[in-house]
Amino acid sequence: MASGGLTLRRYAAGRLLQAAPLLLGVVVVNFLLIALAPGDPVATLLGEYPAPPEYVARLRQEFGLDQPIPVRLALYVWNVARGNLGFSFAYRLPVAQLVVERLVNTFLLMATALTLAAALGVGLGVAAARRPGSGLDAASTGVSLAGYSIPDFWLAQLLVLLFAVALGWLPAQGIRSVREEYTGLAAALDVGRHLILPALALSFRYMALIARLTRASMLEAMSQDFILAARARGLPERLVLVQHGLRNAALPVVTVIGYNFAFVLAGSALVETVFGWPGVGRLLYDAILQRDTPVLLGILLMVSATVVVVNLLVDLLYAVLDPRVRY
Amino acid sequence: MPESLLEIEDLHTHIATPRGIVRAVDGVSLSVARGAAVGLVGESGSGKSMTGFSVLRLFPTARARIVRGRIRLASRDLLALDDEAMRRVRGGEIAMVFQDPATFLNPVLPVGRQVAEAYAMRHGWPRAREHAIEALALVGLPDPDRLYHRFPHELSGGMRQRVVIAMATVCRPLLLIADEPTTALDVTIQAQILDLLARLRRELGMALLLITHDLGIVAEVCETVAVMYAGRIVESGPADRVFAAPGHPYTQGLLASALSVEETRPITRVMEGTVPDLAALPAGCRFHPRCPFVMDRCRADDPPDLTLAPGHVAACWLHDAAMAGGPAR
Repeated sequence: MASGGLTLRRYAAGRLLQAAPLLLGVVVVNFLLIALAPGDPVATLLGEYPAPPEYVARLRQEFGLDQPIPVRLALYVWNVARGNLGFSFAYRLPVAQLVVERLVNTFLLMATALTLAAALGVGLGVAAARRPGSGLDAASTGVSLAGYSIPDFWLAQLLVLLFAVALGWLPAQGIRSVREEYTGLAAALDVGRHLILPALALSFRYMALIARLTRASMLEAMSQDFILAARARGLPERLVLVQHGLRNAALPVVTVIGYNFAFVLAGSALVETVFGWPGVGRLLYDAILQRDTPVLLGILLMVSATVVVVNLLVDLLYAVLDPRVRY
Repeated sequence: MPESLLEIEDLHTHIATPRGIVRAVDGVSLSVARGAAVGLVGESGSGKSMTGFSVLRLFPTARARIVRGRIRLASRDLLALDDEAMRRVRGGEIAMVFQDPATFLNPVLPVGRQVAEAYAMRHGWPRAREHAIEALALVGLPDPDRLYHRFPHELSGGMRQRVVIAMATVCRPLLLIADEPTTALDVTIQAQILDLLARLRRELGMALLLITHDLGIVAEVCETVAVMYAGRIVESGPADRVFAAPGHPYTQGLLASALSVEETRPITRVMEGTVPDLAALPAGCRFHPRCPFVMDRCRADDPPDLTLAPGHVAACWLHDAAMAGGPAR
């Protein structure tokens, strides 16, 4: 399989090369959109206090806002190409440092939500497909419909009302407790407790999507001849279901989970805002309000790069799941 | 008389469809002796495959159900077994080989693993791997150690069918049901697969129930033949005798249409019509609308099995002692 590994590596390298012009496009379009949009970062930064015009001019010059847009764009692209994402107007910190810090928190939330969605969604879908038309199938359809229909920020507020306000079981805000200082395992558990509600809110829609897709995909797989052949060999139903059914049904499900990564990322912005989760979504929201252009551009660029990488990983995973796929 | 392995008595298998009950198997009785090869012949839609599936109590559709009859394997009543016990019979004592090896193999699992599964389930994994490699070698596949890890799409049609046969025989079944095992294959490969089935039968001492529409294959592989028409067996007996002196007009028609391809007969006989709708069978003999010798009695009464010679029976009024004169050929 040495040659197979080599072609796989070459394929991955090719895909990453293709990503370079794509990311350049992302940078240029985003830069122009933001530069042409109304709103002035300096004005926002100064707030309603009257500032001397000399000070405003100095700030403009310091931020490079006195230059014409094409020059600013060229400078920005040049800096990004060298790995410099610039400085935040609002935080006075390097954008890269700021975004990476927040991205870690977002990935923790997303990974938890996606794992939850995949586990529950696949389980529900398989159970529903086992007996189409049964009560369980109808229930799963109902849950899925609810999942599609309920906006996640509203679900987030419902969850807060129930589990944080009414029952008082779980914290409603932030990533760790403010009043206590935890270390080691206790700190991790504390983060875990804070993670439950936002992860649930974020995962519900994807759980519903994955459940529907798994059900359809399983029904298709289970009607194949090789399922009959597996049963004719006397394999226990559990093995037929997982080894032969789900193994074949997994392909479209994995694709959808992967390609929805970008949407989960977008969805996390709302959920992070509701729960005060210090993630990149929250940062994005704040950056937009503050007209913090470098941060905004940095987030969009890094998120785009992440989506490119995740999609590549999904395509590579395909080859692992389906031996017929070759690159 | 050799010891009987499989005994099917008055089997009725029905399929519920929106158009009504389809009597796919409608009173079939059939027996297979230990180590024997029996051919079950008929046009598509005659119920021959459903007879095979009934023996495994496993159907391609959830709408099919055995409603009446008895199926015994080595004097064990298969229809009385609970689901779990029946599951262990499948792939253990009775195995099945299917028509199209391309679709009956799981595309995402290595073939060796699929061969090993049935054995592993009964005796555990480490030994199953060895047995699977042995089974792959037994069906004549080269380099079974490496083949074990290959995927179905990497094999040719003939190799795939050998894998399917290895899958079925890995647990050394007493009975192998082969449902059109060569139909999807090239003619040259067909002969090889038939040779393989004959050899496995000898070497493993297993009985073979060969389901096919191809009389040539039956003549080559089987000692006994049963001809099915519209859910019933209309004629059965020793293969050489049935082929030499077919007693049922349907068998005669099948033989005539098969032989006319090879022999240069002046008249090519093709049977008119098609198998009747199994949800709405004609009254009397179910073959009478297509029968060239149809009599009044055929339209009214269903003919019983009538003995033509020892072991050779046909369900046709032409052989009723009261009706003088043999079948006109």
